[in-house]
Amino acid sequence: MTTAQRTLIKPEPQRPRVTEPDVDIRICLGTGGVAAGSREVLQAFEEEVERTGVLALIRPREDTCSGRSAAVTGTGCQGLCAMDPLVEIHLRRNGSKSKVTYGQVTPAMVPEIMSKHILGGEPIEKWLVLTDEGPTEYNAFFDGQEKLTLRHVGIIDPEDIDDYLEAGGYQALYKVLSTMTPAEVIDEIKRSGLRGRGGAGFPTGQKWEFAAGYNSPDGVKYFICNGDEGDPGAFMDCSALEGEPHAVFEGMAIGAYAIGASVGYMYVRAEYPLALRRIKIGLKAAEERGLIGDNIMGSDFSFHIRLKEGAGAFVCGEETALMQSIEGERGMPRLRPPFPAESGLWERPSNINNVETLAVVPWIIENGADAFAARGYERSKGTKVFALAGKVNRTGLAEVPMGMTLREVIFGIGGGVKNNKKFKAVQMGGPSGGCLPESMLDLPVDYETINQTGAIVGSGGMIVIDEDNCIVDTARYFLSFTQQESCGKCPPCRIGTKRMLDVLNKICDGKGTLADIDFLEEMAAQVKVGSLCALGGTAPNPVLTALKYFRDEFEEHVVDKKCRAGICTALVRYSIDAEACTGCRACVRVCPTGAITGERKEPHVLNQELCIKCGACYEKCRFDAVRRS
Amino acid sequence: MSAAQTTGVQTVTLTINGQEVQAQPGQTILEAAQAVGIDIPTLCYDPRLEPYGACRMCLVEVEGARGPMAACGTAVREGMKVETHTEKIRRIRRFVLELLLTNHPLDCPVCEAAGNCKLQDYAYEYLVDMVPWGWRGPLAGEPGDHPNIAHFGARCILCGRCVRICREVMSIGCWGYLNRGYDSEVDTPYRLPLQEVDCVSCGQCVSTCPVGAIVGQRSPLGARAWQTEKTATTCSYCADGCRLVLHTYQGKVVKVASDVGAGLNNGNLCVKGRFGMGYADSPDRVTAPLVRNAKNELEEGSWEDAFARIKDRVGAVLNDKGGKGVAAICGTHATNETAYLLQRFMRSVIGSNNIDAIDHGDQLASEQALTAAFGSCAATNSRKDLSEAEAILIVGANLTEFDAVFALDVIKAIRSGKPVIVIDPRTTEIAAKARHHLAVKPGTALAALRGMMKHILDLGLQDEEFISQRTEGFADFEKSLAAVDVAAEADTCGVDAGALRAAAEVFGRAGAAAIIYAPGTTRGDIGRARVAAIADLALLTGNVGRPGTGVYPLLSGANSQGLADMGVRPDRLSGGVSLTDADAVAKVESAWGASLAGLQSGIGISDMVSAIESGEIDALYVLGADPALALVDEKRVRKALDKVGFLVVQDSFLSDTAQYADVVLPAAVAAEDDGSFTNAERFVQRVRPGIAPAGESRQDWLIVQSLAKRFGADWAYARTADVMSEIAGVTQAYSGVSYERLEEGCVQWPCEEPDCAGTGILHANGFARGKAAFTPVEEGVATVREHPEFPLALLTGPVREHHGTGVRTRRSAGVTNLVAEAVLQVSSEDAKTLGLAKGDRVAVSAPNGGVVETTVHITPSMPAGVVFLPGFSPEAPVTRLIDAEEAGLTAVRVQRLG
Repeated sequence: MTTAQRTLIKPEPQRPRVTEPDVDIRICLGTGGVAAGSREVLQAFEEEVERTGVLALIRPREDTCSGRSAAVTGTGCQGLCAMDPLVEIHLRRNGSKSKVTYGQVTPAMVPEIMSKHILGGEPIEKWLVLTDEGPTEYNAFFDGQEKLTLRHVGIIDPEDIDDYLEAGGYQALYKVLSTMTPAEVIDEIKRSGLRGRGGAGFPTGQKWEFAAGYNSPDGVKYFICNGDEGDPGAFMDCSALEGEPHAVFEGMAIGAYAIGASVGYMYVRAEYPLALRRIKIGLKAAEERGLIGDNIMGSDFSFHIRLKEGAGAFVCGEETALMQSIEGERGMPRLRPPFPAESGLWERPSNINNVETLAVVPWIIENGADAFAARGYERSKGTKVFALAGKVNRTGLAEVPMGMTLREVIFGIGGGVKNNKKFKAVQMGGPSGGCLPESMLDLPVDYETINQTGAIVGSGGMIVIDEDNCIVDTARYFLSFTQQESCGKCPPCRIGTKRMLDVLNKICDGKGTLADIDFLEEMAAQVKVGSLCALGGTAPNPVLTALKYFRDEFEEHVVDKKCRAGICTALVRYSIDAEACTGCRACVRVCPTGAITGERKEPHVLNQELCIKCGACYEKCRFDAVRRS
Repeated sequence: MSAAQTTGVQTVTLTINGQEVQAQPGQTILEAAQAVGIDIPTLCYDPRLEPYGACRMCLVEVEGARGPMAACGTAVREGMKVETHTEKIRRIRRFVLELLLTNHPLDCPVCEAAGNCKLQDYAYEYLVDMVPWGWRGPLAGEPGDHPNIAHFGARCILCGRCVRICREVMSIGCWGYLNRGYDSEVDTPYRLPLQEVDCVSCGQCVSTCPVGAIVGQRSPLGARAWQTEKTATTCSYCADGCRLVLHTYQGKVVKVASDVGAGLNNGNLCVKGRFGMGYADSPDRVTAPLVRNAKNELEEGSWEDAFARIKDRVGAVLNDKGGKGVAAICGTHATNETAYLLQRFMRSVIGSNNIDAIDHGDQLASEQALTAAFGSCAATNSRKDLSEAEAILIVGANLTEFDAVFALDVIKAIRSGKPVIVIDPRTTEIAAKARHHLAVKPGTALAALRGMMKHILDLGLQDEEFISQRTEGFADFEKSLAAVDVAAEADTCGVDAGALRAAAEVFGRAGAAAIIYAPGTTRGDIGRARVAAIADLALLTGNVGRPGTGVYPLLSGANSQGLADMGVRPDRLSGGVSLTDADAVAKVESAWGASLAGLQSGIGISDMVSAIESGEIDALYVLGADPALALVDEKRVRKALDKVGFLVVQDSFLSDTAQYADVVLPAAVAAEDDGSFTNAERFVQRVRPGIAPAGESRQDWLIVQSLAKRFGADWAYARTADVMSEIAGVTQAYSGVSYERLEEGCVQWPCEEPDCAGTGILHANGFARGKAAFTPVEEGVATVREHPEFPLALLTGPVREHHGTGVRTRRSAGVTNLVAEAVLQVSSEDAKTLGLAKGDRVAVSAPNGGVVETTVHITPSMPAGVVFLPGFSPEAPVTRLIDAEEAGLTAVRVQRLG
């Protein structure tokens, strides 16, 4: 193959290009949005535009490929999930354009938005989360972001291939097929510095180069997209698949061309029904348009994508277990070497990349490796999507250049800790990562720096933990997750995580000793080094980082028999201060076990034998009469 | 290392624990270390399986690697530096062992595996300390009620070896994982009892389990691993020649095990080999000589009584008719030494060539056809060669039932994606797994072979160079195929012509292709034509004399090949020397100090019954065979056994044949026997006694020697080794064989010099007859003679649990608890037509008047119009239905009883 220009069929939208509409309503139909009620909001808007006659102002969409009469656009996740359902409204009046976003919209709010804002031209300030002009408290969420990976998410209709094509979709694939050799593609990705976004951060271009270097006995190579996103609190892959499935297909096709693969697999967890639906719709459309399948765009490159639904095992996110699962086997990691590049799926050379990695590939091809490499920090180039969750004000998805500090992400974009509580730690990288204390908030988020702390960038989950969380209990939570998700193949992971959990339970139950902490640390070290795959190899990280940064809290549990967050119930005792108690009976009413008794205006009494330490009375009391010790 | 030097393969040099080690490219660190005696512990490793890396015991430190590497799955590299026992590594291993023990019943005092348990050994070696863990392990639980295989799930360490051996080696899959994480378990699908899943009771899981989770059901004798004596020997059932290790205690066999890494079977065994040894201990054993008394009853007597009677009565026959009035039949588990002495006794002492092997009737057609084509009849290649075959053709052999361990090499080929072609009316296990199954009508395999050869010629896929340089008779052969029409042949077989052509093309295009066929396919004239066609196909495609090619005639008994080699044939001396070969005969005469002049070619097995009927033979010596059930036309055979003037039966049991005997000589069973067997691949291997013969019974070769002496011979073989020396002296192909060499391992003949490594591939440089000969193909197929009242075709053959006529297996609880009865296998279509349900009692009758009552088993593996009855049961003797005079297939009628 040469670099000479080949004459291919340039992908174009089939729908006639229309002038920009005067009114454009985009409603987040990501899983978060749908869960918050955005479907109902969308329906309300559709009814309202019809009723008010605004329909005429909206671009005609009767000719969409889905045949849907879409007066209002449903998009993928717009990111600020805390404020779902989000509704973005673009207006053009007298030549000037405006764009605002409403948050936590309910169907009841729709008529007012319609009459006052869309027809009346006056945005309703109290519901706005984002405007072009004056700052709202949420502007900070969007301002620090730079969307390369998720650039279409929340903007286009993911079920409409023409939307993607209008936004420049498949032009990167066209460029690759018409002007680049596979080696040039690999070189471009290598130069961009793109690293695997699934967790390990392995250089993507190098991975492709390996896979390109192995020949298959029968010529078949596989290009696999890992969509088995399983870290608690991480949903960037979900968002990409729901919001711009074609970008992922396009990334896969580019990669497949680079390594010489003819068959692709998307392994997507079955718990993502919306993503699966959009992938199916998208694949069908892409195949019909000749963008995926035989002789793509009229070239001699053929690439078919098959969809495989995962059955919910966390370990199937591990590449070799994932391939076993595609083969119909129980998902258990295989010994490496041989690595998948040499012998992967069905013993053929295979390449596997994460969804997020693939979704940014078209951007890199379009904008060039240098543009990507210009962003980021040291050896971590480009942008990365982070999922903010836990005790943070603005939960949601944020794509930022790598190298931004943890503080900028959590306090700038995330808006800090909820309810003005004190920040305790951030769990980076899900159950394979670790928790970092406040003293590390000014560290830049890049692979090397975070790895040095004992945590990992991982797939980009950031779970914020505040003073109300017990660090021992948090470590126990993450460990119980990996322990349950262990495939059972190797003893360090299968039994080791269980024994570690036993010790953590013992500590939380107030029965731990200082020796248990050392034992836990020793076990953690052995599980880390002795396990077969990364699941076991990283499972101790939450415990090890908790011990590293919060050892005093462990010691408090075993020596003082105290849980400062009041989470470990065995170590907590509630009592009522008779002096402070006003006898309002509020605690009596909320106590689920009838442990509190007392007459009105008389000090109440708490029966320790009946108390289950739920803390309801503690939360309820307005006079600080309920004491926790 | 030496192999690499001799073959010139580049070796890899690495350092293990500071020691420089040479290894083969592609070897793992573990293999390289083992080769130089560095022991790396393993729990999930079994050389029969793909590396798995689960147990983490074989972790080693490799310089430059990110973390510890699993030695079982990491290939050696030039300059690699490996440390196998650093403190760091030892700590990981100890940690793993401690973890395993936190979850393991410490019931070693009552565990079958104690003393033979890797977990136990390593726990001790690695100074495991359970105190910090506060150990409180589970109880072992109940073993399940499978007759042979006990499963104690709580002892499982989840190494996955049973799961993998059942899938990777057996291609079955009875074991699998349940649940996840800490709750993971290994069990059968849906936790069904093993008897209700696809288990074939091979015990491969038992052989690989490193702990006591899957073990053999406990022997009543209950000896521990360190109490038993271990004796390596060769299995005496089929012709695969598997190495067994007898565990014996207080004169009894308490367990049969296998050595991974040793023997042709590499630790693999079938249900008979592993669990079918109970007969040695059977109460049915004949433990003293029996002599028929005046009341016409067999009565216990002394050896002296028995020999005196034989001398007296055989002497009378000799006086009356001379040596030709006496005949001998040898069973297929007689050792080479016994067989050799028997034929020497018959020829040089009795003066008779009336000696034959019980299974020669089945082999005859094959011997004739293959000898005509190649100049000799034996498997041309070793079965390990099958790994180099690019295609394998199997004609009428139900491998998993007939040669269960041989079958594993074919299963391996199938699993690795190689095309395997099966020509068989039945959907055998192999046929079901193979890429090409030509489910021909019974008796029409010849037509399928004709069609394949014709299509290969049509496509020009024949090996012209091979044909012109190494064969003769091609022109006539080609002419004989001229009129053959592929579509018509397919039609004759009842298979799709496209499928036939596809199979031919696959075979024709393979760079190396092998053919396997079973004795069952070779009866009668059509049988001979069939084997001739098989030889033709191999010659046509140049598939003889190279690795991965060749023709494998399967044989029915452990020493079927040895019997032929030793001269247990009416017309041949040992080494296949024809009685007409004066020079060779002279050599034997000089060795024996006897004259064989004047001996005419003897009466073979197929003619012995009629010779008894005619009175030509009046004394018969049956050694370890059961012609009453084994020879076709049971009624007539029994009449002849009744009629023959004097019948000596040498056996361990009062077989159906022995019940007609005048004298029964109590013979040692295989576990008590000494000598050697030659397997179907020409490997000569030692048979060693694990226990002393029961009661007064004696090893066969000693009985034959005593008899010979009684008839005046001056034999003085002190040991079986002496017999082998003599065999080597008079048998060209065995001239390099000696017991010294057999102690080191098996030897594959031809082995003509003491330092010859044996010959893996026959006809590599030239055929025994110079050029190989094509045989023009014959027309026709074996058919069932039209009998309107007998609408079904009868097939017979073995089932995996039993061997031969079942004299031994029927007395072994380990197999009879699985399969006790010879049932009639019927297709579901026929069952419907005949109104039969599983378990119905039926009468099977044949045109010869034979009627057998048995039980119906309905199976999808049978095609319509065909029934199958195995041959191991005297209650339902299939030979009763088969007419010796009818060359074609047997027609039968099946009627429901009651």
